[in-house]
Amino acid sequence: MKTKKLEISRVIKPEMVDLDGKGFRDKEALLDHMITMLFDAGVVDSKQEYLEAIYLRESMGPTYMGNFIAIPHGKCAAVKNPGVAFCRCDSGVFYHTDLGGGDVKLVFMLAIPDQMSGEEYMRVLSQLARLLVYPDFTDRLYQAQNYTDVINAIKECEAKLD
Amino acid sequence: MKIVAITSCATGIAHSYMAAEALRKAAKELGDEIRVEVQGAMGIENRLTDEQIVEADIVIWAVDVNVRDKDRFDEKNVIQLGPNEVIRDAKKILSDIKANLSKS
Repeated sequence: MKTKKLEISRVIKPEMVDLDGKGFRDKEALLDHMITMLFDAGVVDSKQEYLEAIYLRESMGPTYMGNFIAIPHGKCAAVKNPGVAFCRCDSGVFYHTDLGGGDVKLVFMLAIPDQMSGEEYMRVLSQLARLLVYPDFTDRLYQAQNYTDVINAIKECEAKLD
Repeated sequence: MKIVAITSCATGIAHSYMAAEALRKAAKELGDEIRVEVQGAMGIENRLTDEQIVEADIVIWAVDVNVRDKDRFDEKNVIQLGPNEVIRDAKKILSDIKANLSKS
């Protein structure tokens, strides 16, 4: 059966993108803000449960990837549909981890449902992770003025992946 | 050189794919041939063939969870490290491995 290609805009909705993240006291405040974005967008139905899943993943190893990027992610039953929140913090937020951590400016928070259904959604999340390796892509994220710029950057750079 | 690699991570979504891409990018830049198997949440993707494993000059496991079907590598020297290390500087890691190989 042929499946229709999933639009990235169904995974990252406008209300889940904040290009003007600032004033975060620390990593926890940044994560709280992003969890709230996912909650308000209806991606997760329990902030507490999702927060615990995020911190459980943090405890397994750093989600800070260097190069000012972090990809915190949580997998739990509170996630109703796979989704991604994106927050850009131009002035940087210190993201501490067991290995030290560093400043982050581009943060993608992935929400993954407990039940592994919807392969197409998972493919979109993994494609996004792959893109973050390329400076062409991260440059465009830094330059993005609005939600549409972010979505276009993902779509256009994704098309260049093998 | 011919390189084969396996990447995996705790949830099998983010790091395994980023590490795989970082390795592909680095190998391309260094002129090496690479095959990367991702052991992720969607199962095993791009599974390495026995032939690819036999022919490989370098075997890398960028994993922080157990490798599935690891007996395929019984005859090989495996370089194991974490996916995060690979993501941060795959090019340097590959260069160092190659430099060490040429010394021995």
